[in-house]
This record gives sequence, C-alpha cells and structure tokens, in this order.
Amino acid sequence: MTAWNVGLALPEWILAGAGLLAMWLDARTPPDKKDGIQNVAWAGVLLATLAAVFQGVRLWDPGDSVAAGGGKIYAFRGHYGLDAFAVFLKVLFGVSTLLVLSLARSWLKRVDRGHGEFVMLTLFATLGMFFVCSVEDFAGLFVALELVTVSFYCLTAFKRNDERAVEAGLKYVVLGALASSFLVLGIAFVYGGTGSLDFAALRSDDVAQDLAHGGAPLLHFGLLLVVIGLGFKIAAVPFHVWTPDVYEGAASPVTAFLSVGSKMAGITLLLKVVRACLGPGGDAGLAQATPWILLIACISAATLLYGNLGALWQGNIKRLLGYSSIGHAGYVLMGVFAFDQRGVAAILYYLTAYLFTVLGIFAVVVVVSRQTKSHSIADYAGLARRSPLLAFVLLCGLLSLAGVPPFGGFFGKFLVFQAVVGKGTPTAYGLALVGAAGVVISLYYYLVIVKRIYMEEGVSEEPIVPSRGMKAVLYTCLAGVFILGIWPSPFLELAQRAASALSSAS
Amino acid sequence: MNELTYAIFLPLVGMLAVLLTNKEKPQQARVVGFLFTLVTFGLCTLVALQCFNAGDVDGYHYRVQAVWIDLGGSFQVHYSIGVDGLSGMLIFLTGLLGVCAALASWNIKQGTRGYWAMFLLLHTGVIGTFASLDLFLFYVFWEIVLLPMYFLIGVWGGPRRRYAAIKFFLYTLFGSVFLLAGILVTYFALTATGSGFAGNPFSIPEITAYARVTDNIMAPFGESAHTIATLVFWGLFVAFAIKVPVFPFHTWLPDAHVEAPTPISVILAGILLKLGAYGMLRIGFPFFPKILHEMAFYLGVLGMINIIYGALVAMAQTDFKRLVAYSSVSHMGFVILGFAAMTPESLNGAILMMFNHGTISGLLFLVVGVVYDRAHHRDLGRFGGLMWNMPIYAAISGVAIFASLGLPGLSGFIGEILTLLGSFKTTFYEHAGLITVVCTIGLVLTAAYYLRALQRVFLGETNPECESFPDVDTREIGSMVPLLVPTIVFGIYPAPLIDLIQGPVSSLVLMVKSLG
Repeated sequence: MTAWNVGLALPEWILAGAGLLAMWLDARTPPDKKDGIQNVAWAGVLLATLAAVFQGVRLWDPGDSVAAGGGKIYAFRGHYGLDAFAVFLKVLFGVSTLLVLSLARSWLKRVDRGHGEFVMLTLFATLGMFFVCSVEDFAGLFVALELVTVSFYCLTAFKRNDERAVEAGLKYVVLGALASSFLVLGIAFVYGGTGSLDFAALRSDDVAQDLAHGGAPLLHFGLLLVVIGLGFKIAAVPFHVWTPDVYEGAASPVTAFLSVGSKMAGITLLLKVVRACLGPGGDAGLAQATPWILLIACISAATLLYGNLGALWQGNIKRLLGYSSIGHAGYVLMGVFAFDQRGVAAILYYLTAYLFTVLGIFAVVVVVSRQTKSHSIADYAGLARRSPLLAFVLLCGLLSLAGVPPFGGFFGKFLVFQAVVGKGTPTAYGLALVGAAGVVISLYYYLVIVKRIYMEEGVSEEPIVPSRGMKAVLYTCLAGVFILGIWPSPFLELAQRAASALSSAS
Repeated sequence: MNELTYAIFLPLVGMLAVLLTNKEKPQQARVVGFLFTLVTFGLCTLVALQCFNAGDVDGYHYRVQAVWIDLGGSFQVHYSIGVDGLSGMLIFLTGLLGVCAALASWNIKQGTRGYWAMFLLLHTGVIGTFASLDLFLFYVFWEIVLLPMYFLIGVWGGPRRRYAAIKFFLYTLFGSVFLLAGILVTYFALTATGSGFAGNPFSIPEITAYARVTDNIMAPFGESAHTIATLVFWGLFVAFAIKVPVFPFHTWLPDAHVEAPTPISVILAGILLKLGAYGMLRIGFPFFPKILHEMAFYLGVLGMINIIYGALVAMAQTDFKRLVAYSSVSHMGFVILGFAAMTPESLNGAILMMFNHGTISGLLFLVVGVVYDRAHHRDLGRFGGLMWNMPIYAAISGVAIFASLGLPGLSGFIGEILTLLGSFKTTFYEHAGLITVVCTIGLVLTAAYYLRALQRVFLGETNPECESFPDVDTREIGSMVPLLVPTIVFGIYPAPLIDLIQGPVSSLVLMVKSLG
C-alpha cells in the first residue's frame, strides 16, 4: 500500500500524454490540417485501452501472485487501485471513446473551428473516466469526477454559436455545480464520520455496525449527499432535470459520449461507494440497513417510470433518447439494489450492451441529421428506403434498448431482473414488477420509431449514404449488439470476474 | 445436429439467401423463398413421421442438448430441443401452412425480398418455439416470432396495419413479461435451498418430471409457496392466453387478422394461436398440476365465455375476415374448455381441434383472400351468388365453412364432439356438465353465422358487382388443396392424429390422475 508504483497507471499516462500532445499539435498545425490530431487521439485511446487489456490479462491469470492475493494492486501509496473490476470498466470506457471519436470525425468536418479542443477535451474526459475506475478515496473520487464533468461542460457548449448548445451547456454547468457541491459537502460529512477519506475506512467493522443500525447520523447524512451528487451524474430521478435539455442541445457525438461515458462514470463510482458501505464481507453495513435499501428501490422505480413515461411524448429523437437514458439508469439502479455479485455482474453486462446499442443509435442520428438537418422523429419516416443499413441498425438498437431477444440489451435486462428477483423480498418483487412495466412502456415508444422508419413514407426518397468511417462504427455496434445477445457466455464470464473482484475488494 | 435442428435453422439460411437475391427481380426472391419453405415442409413432415415411433428414453425424438450460455453454478442455458407427438404435429402444421401461405404470397408486389425474409424468419421462430425443451430457449424463440410478425402486418397489411401491428406486439410482449417472470421465479424456487430438485432448472422435461413427484415446486418459499405457485400459474396462463387468445385478452386478434395480408392471416390463425395453447400444455399446466386442479373451473368458464362471446360477436360482423377472426376466438374456446376438463377425450379433442382449426381457419382465410383480391372489399352485404360464376371456389369454400361449423365427416366435428364429451363427464372440476351444456349453444350460434355468411356470399342471384370475377386459378387452388385434403381425410379418419398425440395426452392424464 505504501509503494508509489507509478507505472501501474500506464493507461492514464498514455491518455494524459495524448491529451497534451493534441493540445500542442493544435497550436502548431494550420486550421485545414487538423485531421492529424484526431489520429493522434485515436491512437492514444487505442494504446491506453490495450494497456488496460494487458494489465487485465495479468490480473486474470489465476497463477499470478497478484490474483492470488486478493486481486488488487495499489499505486500512489494506496490512492489508486487496480483490479479486474477497474480493468473491465476501463476497457469499456476506452471502446466507447474510440467509437465516439470515429463518430465525431465526419461531424467535425462540418465544424469550422476547434477541432483540437474537441479532441483534447474528449481525451481528458476519458482520462477522468479511467481514473474513476481506480480511485480509492473520496478525494480521488471528486477530482476524477470533476475532470470528467468539467470536460463535458465545455463539450456540451461546444457549438458556441448555437443558442441551444449554449443553453444546454449553461444548464449543465449550473446544475452540475450544484450537484458537485452536494458531493463535496457529503464527502466532508463522511470524513467527519470516519476520520479518513479512504473507502477502506468505511469498510471497517465498527463503521459497518453504525451503518447497519443507524448510528452516526452525520455519516448517514454525508452518504446521502454523496448519493445525490452521483445520482445527478447518472440522471436518476429526482436529479435528472438537466438530461433532456442537455441531450437535445449538445452536438450528437457529445450527447452520445455523455449518455455512455458520463453515465458509466457515475455508475462506477456509485458501485465503488456502495461496496465500501457494505462492510468487509459485503453483507454488513448498508446491506442490513432497510431504509437505504428502500431508498435505492424507490429511486430506481421512480427513475424507471419517469424516464419511460416521459419518453412517450417526445417528438425529438435526442430528447427521447435522453428520457430513455433516464429509464436505463433506473434498470442499472435495480442492479445496485440487488447489490451482490450477481447484481454487479448484471450491471456490467448491461453497460456493455448499452454502450454498443446507444452508440449505434447515435451513429444513425449523426448520419441522418447531417442530411435532413433535423432531429425530429417525424423526419425519420421512410428511412428504410433511404438507407436500409441505417434503418436496420436503428431497429436493432431500439429493440436492444427495449430488451427484446436476441439482442444484447435483452441479456442485460434479464440478468438485472434475475438478480433482483433472486433477492426474494417483497420489495424486490415490487421493483421487478415496476421494471417489467417499464419494459412494456418503453417498447411502445421504440416501436413508434420503428413504425416510422419502416412503415411510413418519407417526404424525401433521397438515399442517405454513410461515410466509410461511419459504416465501420455502425457495423461494429451492430456486431456488438448481436454477439452480446447470441453468445453472451465469454463476456458474462468477464463481467462475473470483475464483479467478484469488486465484492472481494479489501 | 439432426433434422429438427435443420428444420429450425433452414428458414434462417433461406432468409439470408432471399436477401442476397436481385432487388430488381422480385421473382427470384419468391422462387428462393418458396423453395426454402418447401424443403422446410419436407423436414417438418419427416420430424412428424418420426413421432409415430416409440419415443426415446424421455419420450422425445431428435433430442439435442448442448450448453449455450454458462453462467457458472446452476445457471446453464442449453440449446435443448426435441419433439413429441404434440409438438411434432404442430411442427408439421407449421410446414404445411407455410407452403400454402407461400403460394398465397405470390401476389405480394411491394418489397418482395423483405417480405420473404420476414416470412422465413417467422418459420424459424415458430418451429424453434415448438421444439424448445429449455425454458430460456423457448422464451427467446417465442420473442423472435414477434418481430417478423410485426413487420409482416405493419408493412404489408391493410389500411390500419400500423395500429394493428403495434397492438399485436405490445399485447404479446406484455404477456412475455409474465412468461419471463414465471421462468425466473421457477428458477429460484428450484435452486433455493430446501428444494428437492437436482436437475437443470431450465429443462422443461426435468421440471415436469419433478412437478409430478413433488407437492409444489415452489415449496422452498415456505408458507407463501402456494400463493406464489398460484401467481406464477396465472402469470404463465396470461402469457399464453394472450396468444390463444382467451377473453378478455383477445382484442388484438380481430385487428391483427383483419389488417394482415392473407397469407399472414393464415399463419396467424393457423399457427400463432397454437403457440399459446401449446405453451399451456408444455409449461403452464405440467409445472403446476395441483394449481391447475384448483383453477380448472375458472379455465372452463373462460373457455365457455370464449365460445359464446366469440360466436355472438362473429354473428354481428359484416366484414367477412372479421367474421372468420371471431370464429377463431370461439373455436379456441373449445381448446381451453378441453384443457380444463383434463380427461383423455377432452384432451384428444382439444389437441385435434388445435390441428384442425389450423387447417380449417387457414383455408377460410385463403377463401376470404380470394374474394378480396377480386372485389377489394370484404363486405358480406355486397356479394351474392358467387357459386354461379365461381363454382370451384364455392365448392372449396363450402367445405371450409361446413368443416368449421362442425359438420360430421369433416375434420372440425371430431375435435368439438370429443371435447364436449370429455368435458361433460369430467370430475376434474365442479359444474363441468353445466358449463359444457352452455357451450353447446355455441355450436348453434356457429352454424347460424356461418350459414348466413354462406348464404349471403354464395347463394341467390349473382350480384352485378361480382359478375366479372374469374374463378380460382391454379395457384390459388394449389394453395388451398393442401389444406383441403387434411380437412376431409382427418374428418373421415382421424386415427393417425390421435395415434400421434397419444403419448403426450396419456402423460397429461396421468399427471392429474391422482388429483381426482
């Protein structure tokens, strides 16, 4: 725990280096030759992801000394930890950034300035996400999360001549700052309660006793504030108000990144904090505190219902995806409610499928809006004739979001429901019931889009042709959605390993 | 890998083949699609014939079991398939109706490739559902059926197709949620400590066998075991009842049937409705025999409502296709009535009814399709005297209508009479006699609305509007004859069908024997 071991943060070093390099290059290249910066960024993220994969291979080897000793390696004197859980999420973050960068490429062509900034901010946001996976104390949590969030503030308002984007950026900053202040205050109370910023301090036996039996009210209050701050990031009701506006206002690639990267970062931290509150064995502390379990169930149910009901009346596809992403946060929270190894594995699988699904859908949105200059769902009418590929990706994506087999989203939902029903308490059954209602509601508004793209005649018959890069993104996402739905075993095994690393974390 | 696996996945290969055909030449897609349907039919027939032989150890043929998803521990999903007489019969029906529907699909002009691709995907879903012996696999195939059906109704259907397609999808998915919930609760009950079950908690045959020797498979839930079992029973029932459809979950059916193109109505009425009834016999009832015994009365009442209500509503229809659609509701009521009674006669009758309703209602929808192709409307008031200028058509229609209203000598009769006989004398639930007597009123009502329709369409003076209608052509006859033959043959000699389902029926009867 006391070693510096700085080499362990190799993926982060690579990302930071790539970010700084992009900044430097941006200052030195003429405005019409900015494509090179994107290549640098792409290569940087790819390298960082590969580095994470290599670290993962080592952690996964059962014969390795590290895997044998609890599966966690520390660096920076214990403030940075790496285990299978962190690696799994880092790879997810890396893959989503790669896809977002590819997706942004054709969009950036139409943006006259600021290519370097966009790339740099994306890289720093990714750096934040990587750190999020490895933080071991509340100070690290705050810094990593702010790195992500601040980058997103700028990215949201990136189209600075667009009123909506600026409005969205401003809303995001104001509400985000509020959430951050809750978070900081919460951290202060937690520090007051345990005398340490380390997650490990929460895991000690006497703190677990306090958490389980309602002792140390200020500690409880602090944790409540922390949950509120994180709830904002993942857009859980009632901390969701920013979502539809920001999703609508931000540029589509940014929205895509926001709905995948930022949300996953919030969930990662939530999982880490909740795990820390469950005592040494994972079955003490909050796991025995009924009010907390009820609270999570209520937030989850409210989020599910609000997101799915709100989406019913949306005419703008990005707003609709915003509401639907609120709904999906609800499903993830169902997994948090179930918080055992099965629940965490379910969440990880859910996120994997969600990543490919959502990015595929956003790729379609980017390509279509480029031609139609509109995000109105009405303008998707007749898409099947204009581009069978785009229509098919959208179809598979929407059905995967709804959780229909044989798409990846189905397994995610199945595992989450399985974990919740497995709890066997009346609350669990109730929550599962609400979740099931959410699935049926969501299917309606997804099907309305499917109806438009396949069964209605559009105003224009003009074909929409995605660029080669976009096609690559579309096919990748499509393959991801199908493979995760038809052959889930290998990914599930990885998710289970990651989940067991989190629950055995000491 | 065996013929059953081929029968499931050959249509999927066919779908890809159809998508590779030339977009500008729709005839290619038709020919390729039809050939794949035909070969699939051949495989289905082979599978069904095999079911006449004595079964393997656990009573299923073509058994395949391979691990598909392995989550460690007891959570192992298998690609586990096999057929017994019941599923073999229904798979045969699927192949048969597939060929007829394929012939009737020849005049689909728009988006031919897409149509045939969806048509073949539907086959994979349906045959897969009938063949699945793993709960999870069953669920996946069950859902796969939805998607092509949604498109087939929504893209190639009538004026209100979009509404009908979404309604169909949402209704069925609503049921699927209960199915999934039921599967999960069953899984947890079987793997919980205190459960005596040692097998695979997704395997349908193993759970069925376990349910037979144990009091309640939900026993590990302790005091609330009975309540939970009842809830799961009804949850599964709702999931399947929506497909059947059982009143009050039937309202999607008239819309879907009426808006769907003719060949899809054929498949919808002929096969998809049977998926629901099949699910009850394969999963819903065998898992909870005791609950079935307690609830049989309500099932009987639901069957009765279906019969009477469906017939009454059919009487009020002026649209020929809607009339046939409501007659399906009424006829499926007999199936539910037969299930509720659980006697050998009633089960034989109900299962025969499933098969015969498949061929007869398929034929009826083809009949409606023929006249719709010519008149472009289905208003019963605007036909008349078609028998004079369309004699062959009138003859075929006559057979279909008389078979459907249960004329002895045609296949509709045998199922109805066996169901009513078995239901009348059953001791499985109280007041069965009374319920059965009320149901016989349905026979009279059925005769009334069918004879009235027959009269208004075929008899009397030829309506001037219809004078120019040509009689059915070779392709149309070709699509009807394969359904006409079993209607007549199994009407006169139903023994082969009864032989085929003997095994499944006797094991169902055995299951409830000790319950009274």
